[in-house]
Amino acid sequence: MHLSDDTPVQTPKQEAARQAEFTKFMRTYQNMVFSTAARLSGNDAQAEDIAQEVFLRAHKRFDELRDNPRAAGWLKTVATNLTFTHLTRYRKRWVFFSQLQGADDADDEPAIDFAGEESVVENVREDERHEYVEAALRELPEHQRVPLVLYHFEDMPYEDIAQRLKVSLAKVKTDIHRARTALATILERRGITAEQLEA
Amino acid sequence: MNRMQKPPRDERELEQHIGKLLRAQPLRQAPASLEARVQRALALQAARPWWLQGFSAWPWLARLLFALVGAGLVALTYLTSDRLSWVSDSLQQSSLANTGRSTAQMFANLGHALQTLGEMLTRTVPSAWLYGAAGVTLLLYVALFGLGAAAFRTLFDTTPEHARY
Repeated sequence: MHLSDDTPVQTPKQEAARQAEFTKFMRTYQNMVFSTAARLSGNDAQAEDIAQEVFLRAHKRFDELRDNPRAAGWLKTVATNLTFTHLTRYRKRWVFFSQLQGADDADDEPAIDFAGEESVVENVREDERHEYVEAALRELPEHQRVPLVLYHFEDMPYEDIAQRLKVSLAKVKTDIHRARTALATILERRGITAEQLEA
Repeated sequence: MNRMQKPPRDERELEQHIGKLLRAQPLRQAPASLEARVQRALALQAARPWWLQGFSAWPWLARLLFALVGAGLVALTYLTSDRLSWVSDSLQQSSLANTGRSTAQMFANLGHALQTLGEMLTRTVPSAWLYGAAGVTLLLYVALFGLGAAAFRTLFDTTPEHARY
């Protein structure tokens, strides 16, 4: 979607109406933008900075975004790109150091110990479970969390993730598998059982 | 806690469970401060003088003037190109150019001296010693590199223990 950067000069009354409309626009999409940035970055403070920058850019192009059905997609793309820019200086480091661990140690993964039905915390409330999942995502190391979020939340195929992160396809698959395993382990430790995952 | 040990799931099953779980996650609630922060930043942007904003925000008279001055400067540069070439010629003969040449000469001399020193060393020091020294240097470099990686993982890598396997 091509959006130009021109903002026409407006009267104060028009500008006030535009601001009110922009506020409404922001309220509609702020949770989506914040969620994208927070899940990718794993840091709420950084995500808030990124979300602010996304809406400042959206404000510049608001005349084209306000009635555009693809506005949500545009906002999500900008949020993802800005988060990547934010993570770039760390990304080179994790690509190198995570590859030092070697890709062949996947067989050393410990078996996941799923709690049984007798677990005392099996009836975790739904909202608590959502919070546990978000917290578990934040606990994942960046080289696992980022591809996992791109795959499951952004519906990005493995090949695109590999291209985006500039790593091999095998590494993306390994990291996502490890991320799922680690996520299941963290949740299990907090009492979210396999049965509840399916609920 | 009473637990039953179950066999580990296969990759496909795990993907389905985690995929289902993550898809069911609602959007995170944006902080209440976000809206105010954006409004504040927008107000700050709007309060900036027009010449610090984008060209599209400039008054039309300023834009016209800018275009005229720009076009005038281009024309002036074109018309005075003869004079500019004369200035560059005289600069080449100036003391500044001489200083540049003598600096380049100094670096060339330094390179020559280093080359002579290298040749003298290879003649007087047995080659086995030189290879040994190069090997030790390489070993030290690798050891330092490994030490750096270990220090990073110990001091800065925040990967939780469970995620390292």
